[in-house]
Amino acid sequence: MPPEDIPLGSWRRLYGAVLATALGVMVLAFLFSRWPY
Amino acid sequence: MALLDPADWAVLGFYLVAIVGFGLYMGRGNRQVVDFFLAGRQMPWWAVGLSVMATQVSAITFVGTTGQAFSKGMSFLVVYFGLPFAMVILCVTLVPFFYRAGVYTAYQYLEKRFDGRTRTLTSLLFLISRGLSVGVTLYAPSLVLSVVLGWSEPATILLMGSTTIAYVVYGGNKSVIWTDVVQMILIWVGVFVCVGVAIAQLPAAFGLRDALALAQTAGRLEIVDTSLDPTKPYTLWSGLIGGCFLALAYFGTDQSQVQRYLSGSSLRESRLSLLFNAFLKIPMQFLILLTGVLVFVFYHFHAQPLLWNPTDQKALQEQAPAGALAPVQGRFAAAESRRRAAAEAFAAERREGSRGTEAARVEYRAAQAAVESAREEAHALIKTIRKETRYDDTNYVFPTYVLSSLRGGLAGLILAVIFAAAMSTLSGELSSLATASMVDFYQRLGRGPRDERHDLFVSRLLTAAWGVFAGVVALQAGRLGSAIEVVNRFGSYFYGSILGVFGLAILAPKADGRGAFWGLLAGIVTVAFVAQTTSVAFLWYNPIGAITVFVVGLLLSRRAPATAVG
Repeated sequence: MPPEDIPLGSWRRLYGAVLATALGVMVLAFLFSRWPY
Repeated sequence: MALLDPADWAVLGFYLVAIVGFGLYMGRGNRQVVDFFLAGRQMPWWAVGLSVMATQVSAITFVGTTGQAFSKGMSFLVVYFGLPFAMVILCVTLVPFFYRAGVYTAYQYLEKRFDGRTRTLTSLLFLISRGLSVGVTLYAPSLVLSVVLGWSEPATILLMGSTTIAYVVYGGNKSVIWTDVVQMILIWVGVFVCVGVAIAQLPAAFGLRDALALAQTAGRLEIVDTSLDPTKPYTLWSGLIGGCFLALAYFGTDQSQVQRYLSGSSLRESRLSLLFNAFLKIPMQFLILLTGVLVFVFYHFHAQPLLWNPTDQKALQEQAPAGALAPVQGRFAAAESRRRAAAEAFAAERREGSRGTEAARVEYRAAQAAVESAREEAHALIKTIRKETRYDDTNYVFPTYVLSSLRGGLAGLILAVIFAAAMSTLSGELSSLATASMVDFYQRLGRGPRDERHDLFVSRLLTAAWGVFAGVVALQAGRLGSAIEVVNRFGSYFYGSILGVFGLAILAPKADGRGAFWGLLAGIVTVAFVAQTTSVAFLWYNPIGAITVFVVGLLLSRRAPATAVG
């Protein structure tokens, strides 16, 4: 197996981006369901 | 129901021939078991990511989820809210452990960490639950096609099963992953086509905002329910917590998924494939559910059958007691006209500048309730004819829509998408079932040095055997209820408990084999007890099972002599 080629800090930022995006999508879904069309 | 155009047949036929040919081509060159089961550990992250996603998206996702959105709304979306959190947790925890251990199956790791019997039991539970659900994976599209094409269910099962088995038996995991890539791209195209066509088919004077406002008034857009009631199936909390545990268990301990990312060329590729899935899963499910909602609006302006299953509709017309059906049909037709008028009046008020008066909403809701009430009367009649206590025909809504409203090859394309969704799930499941039976059972029985050619032959034989088993289960699956919930329920009985064992393995250094084994049994018994004696929603089974195993396993380990650490 090749060694890790992404530093730990970059992984943390990536994980943070994934979770922030997920929370954003959930908020959008909520707004979609309650939007006054 | 309308028949398929020649263009539809051409599209569907081309897909089937092309995917089998592509699968066979990409799967050539397997010389060792590691090639056959882990694609030589050489796959890039994007291919593994699409394969992970394709394995999860089954035909049930299209047929069941759209039907559920049609009849109950979009609340099912919350099941996926916990998934991105689970992906990150897995990237940090289990995935590196699997890599360092250099295993073929997730359960193999448990022998390294605990003992052989824990590995055997978890692998056996996987084989039982996945072996049963692979039958449902085959059954759902056969149900669609038996309706749509007038084929028998066994013939459909044979066609879908044999084409998939052909390339998985020959090419193993390489074929599985590369066909998954094509199938997943096709599925994404299909999702956008469905949403686009459904919007395009709204009446000229009825815009998308009108459609969404109407669906909202009918309660079809409700997604986030903050109720704390544990018996409600889809709440924000069951989605975030139960959904997270479900995703942890599915992606972290189910061999059909673990095998996908163990095929990555490095730990980096495996992690990226899971994060790729974390980004795209909720938006994709949202679009699929939205399709179901738009189909719901579509049928305000187009004739719809009383029962969605054409076989039952025919039985109703031929066997309902004299004088019983006509009044129901009359009430249904009147309710449909009333609902259409109410929907148009609602939209007309919106065009005049208001968002629709409360009176228009009340009238629309009453008309919608009248449609549902007439349909319930028809359900009561068919239940009497069929001598059944439950009736659910929501799985037939989407195929009926596809056949009656898509033209010029588009129906063929969507049917190819349903095929692709089914085959991509089936292929991953067959490959993983063969891997677990080969690595966790057959190879442990053998004595003497390994013969790669012999093992490769047995691996192919096991793949074919699981394919046949899946077909046999598929023939019985029609007796079960709503397909989508059945599959999740099968998994939920064992999933949480198996996750608990992996939790013990990596989070509790003091836990030992005795604690893991008996903790696992305690978890399964607890979940079975909760499922049988309470109305707790199935998404909660996973946290209940996992926590029980963890606590019981830890308690029993502490009483035993410390034999296994780290």
